[in-house]
Amino acid sequence: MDKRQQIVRDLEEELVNVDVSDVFDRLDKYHMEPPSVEATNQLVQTLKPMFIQQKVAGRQQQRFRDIVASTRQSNAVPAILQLIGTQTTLMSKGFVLLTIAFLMAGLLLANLFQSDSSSLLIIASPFLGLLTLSYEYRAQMYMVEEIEASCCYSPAQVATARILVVLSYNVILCTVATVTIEPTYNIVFWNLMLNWLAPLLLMLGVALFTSLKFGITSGCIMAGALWVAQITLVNGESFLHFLLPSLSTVFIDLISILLGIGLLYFSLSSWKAEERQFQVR
Amino acid sequence: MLTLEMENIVKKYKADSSVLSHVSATMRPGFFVLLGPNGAGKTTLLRIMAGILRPSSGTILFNGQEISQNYKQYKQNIGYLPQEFGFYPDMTGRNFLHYIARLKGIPASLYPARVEEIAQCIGVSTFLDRKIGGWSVGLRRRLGIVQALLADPDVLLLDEPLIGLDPEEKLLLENYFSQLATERIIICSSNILADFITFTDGVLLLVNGKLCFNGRIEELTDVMDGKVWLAEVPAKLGQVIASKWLVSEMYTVENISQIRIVSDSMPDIAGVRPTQPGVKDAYTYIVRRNDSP
Repeated sequence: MDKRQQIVRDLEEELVNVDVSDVFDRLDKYHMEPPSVEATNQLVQTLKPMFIQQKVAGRQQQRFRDIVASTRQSNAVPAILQLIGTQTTLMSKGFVLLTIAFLMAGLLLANLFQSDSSSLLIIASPFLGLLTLSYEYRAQMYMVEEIEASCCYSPAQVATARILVVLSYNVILCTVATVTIEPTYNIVFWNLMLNWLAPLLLMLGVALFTSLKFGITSGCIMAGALWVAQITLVNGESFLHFLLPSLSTVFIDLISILLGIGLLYFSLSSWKAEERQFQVR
Repeated sequence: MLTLEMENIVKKYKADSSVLSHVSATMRPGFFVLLGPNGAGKTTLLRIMAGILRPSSGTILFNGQEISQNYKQYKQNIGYLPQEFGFYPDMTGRNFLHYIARLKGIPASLYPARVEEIAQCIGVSTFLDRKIGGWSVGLRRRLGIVQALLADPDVLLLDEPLIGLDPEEKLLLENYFSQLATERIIICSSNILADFITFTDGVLLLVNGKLCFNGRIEELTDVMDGKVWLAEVPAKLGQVIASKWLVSEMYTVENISQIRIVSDSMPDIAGVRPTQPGVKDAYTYIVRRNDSP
């Protein structure tokens, strides 16, 4: 009877309740053999997967990766644009200040010594290309490349986005300098734009291509040597003038730009972080 | 069910030398420890599993699908901590984690809260707004673990995650990993036997690029039944024995050396007796047996 009272208390019922009492009476009269060990085991085996499934399903509903997956599906922005946004966050203040200071100082000195500001821009732009290269290898220098490679974008995509960000920044910087030198949008302005864009792209292309083939130091040395040679031997003119003397400067610049873009494209499409870096460790 | 299978993985950097030689294993949710001496190929194997190195031959299947068919999709399901964890020193911890979260494809509406949540679990949240360059080695290691966990991956690959951590930090992380392992595959490499051994679901022992053992920790010690011997000898004799026999442990107290010898047959040393095998005995035995390239 005590047990009955306990059960009824658990059910929050009164024992005086005739229905409940009747149920107990009927149950007391009903005798059943306890199940065998085998039958119990069989029941456990049958029920266990159901409980596990329910438990797992319950947990999976709360998983962060599922929320990410569902949000990601609705994100239609192309990968390269997403990466450009990401790589922009990597631009350090130091790099920005250094490049601005470099160009400002150059233009100021050119004005002070009544020298040709446009020549300075043409000479300085390959140096910006070299800085771009050092920025391109920043991840490798700080050993972040391995983590970046384990993320869902390919190393080539990351490298392309990074170079696009820094190159765009350099182009904007030089364009601002061009506007300072030549404020009117005439033929001189566009010629000047071509004059610095050509060595910037060509030097960066050569440097990146060489660095991928023979290492980052070789790339920098090669591009640096070319830059110095260009300043000292041909007074800032392109070496292509010697190879193709009959062509005008505009054509030479266009060829340089195409060559630079070609080298950049070839280098970036063959960018394989794993074979280049990780095997040597 | 979540599965990660390696089938006959071979990795060669030069044509004549294999870093990994026909490694095959299947893993289901649980905590696995990848053991092996230095240069055994643990890091290479983890890099292949992380999809950042391609095997020379062999395949990796994730939930029955070859990962090479869609590396991007596979990488969305993994978290990886390299042995040498790099970072941009001029960035704050928070900015760095935001950068990695974006690279992992986590939407901008979700990652700030996620970074905070995981950083709190791993115990780095109070340092998040300081530049990483000024963090201690242990904190940086924990930052590496946070970035690996950001996308809530199904497979967590951690290369020596406990390096540079103090015992308290190790305990915190071991407990956290054991909780995560109930519904994820966690593979940690280590060359320190004591790490993770108490709660591991499986041990993968790699020696000279070959998978020499793949099973539960109990099975590892079962292999050693009747092969471990204990001898107590004068300290001078201890050195002689160590040069002659394969010794898994030796310590000397008051000129008496207690030596654990691993041998298929009973060593001819006076007073030697069989003893209960341990993980260290098994490790020493298997590594030595497979040590020659």
